[in-house]
Amino acid sequence: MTCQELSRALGEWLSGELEPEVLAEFREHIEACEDCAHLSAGYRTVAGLGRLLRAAEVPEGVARRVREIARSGRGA
Amino acid sequence: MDDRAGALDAELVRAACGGDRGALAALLARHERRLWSVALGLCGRPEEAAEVVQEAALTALTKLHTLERPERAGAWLLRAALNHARMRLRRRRRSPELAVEELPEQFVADGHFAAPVAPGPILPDREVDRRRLAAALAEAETLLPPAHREVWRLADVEGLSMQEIAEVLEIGVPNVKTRLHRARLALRERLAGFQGGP
Repeated sequence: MTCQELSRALGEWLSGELEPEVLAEFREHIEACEDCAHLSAGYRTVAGLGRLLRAAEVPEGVARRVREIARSGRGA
Repeated sequence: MDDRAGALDAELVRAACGGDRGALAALLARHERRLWSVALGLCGRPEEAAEVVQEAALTALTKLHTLERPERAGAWLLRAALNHARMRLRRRRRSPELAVEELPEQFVADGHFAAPVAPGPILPDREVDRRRLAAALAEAETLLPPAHREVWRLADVEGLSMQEIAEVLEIGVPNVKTRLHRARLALRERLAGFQGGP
């Protein structure tokens, strides 16, 4: 596996979709290649950190306005 | 979304189309957190995100009867919110964008990197540093081209599956995967070198 091939396989690696033999090549490559070790670790961090940006709840004022629209049948 | 959630959505859509306003309110309440989160993420401004959610609610009010697959109401509502957010974003002045296309010169002929890859970002141990990195990520995200940003938001922030994103955006799954991959690579490159601590 080359660096370019590894780069293209990152998405499937992260979602656990790589075939076992490809996964073995992937792991073997990042153990030997510092560039790809950096790339794969950073890629995983960026993907995993996204969850922290998720809004947990809707502000009450917004939820109330949505209820009003649904129940009144009128626009803003 | 699982079958049971889809069946409940379909039931609410049918009741709402029959004139049950409580059913429409219940349907919107089931999806409003995600609509809000995506609108806020894309618009960045709470007042604009609030308007986008309201506009999506209005779309539901006036066009719910056109929905062909009531069990997919969640994707339909999200698409409506995205369309309203896009219209607002188009009115803004375009800011510089991160390059997301894979550049051939990144690799040499044998498929290895042409230049050393900078390490990082590394997930910090301390919560405060994680928050700082998340804030840097939120800022970097605004530099992505809109099509890549939407996919990244739906996948890595909201946790939608590739299939669900394809449905919301009305594009193919391979296209979703490509955009997501390029968005992650661009964000990683932007944040490489981020170090936690003072």
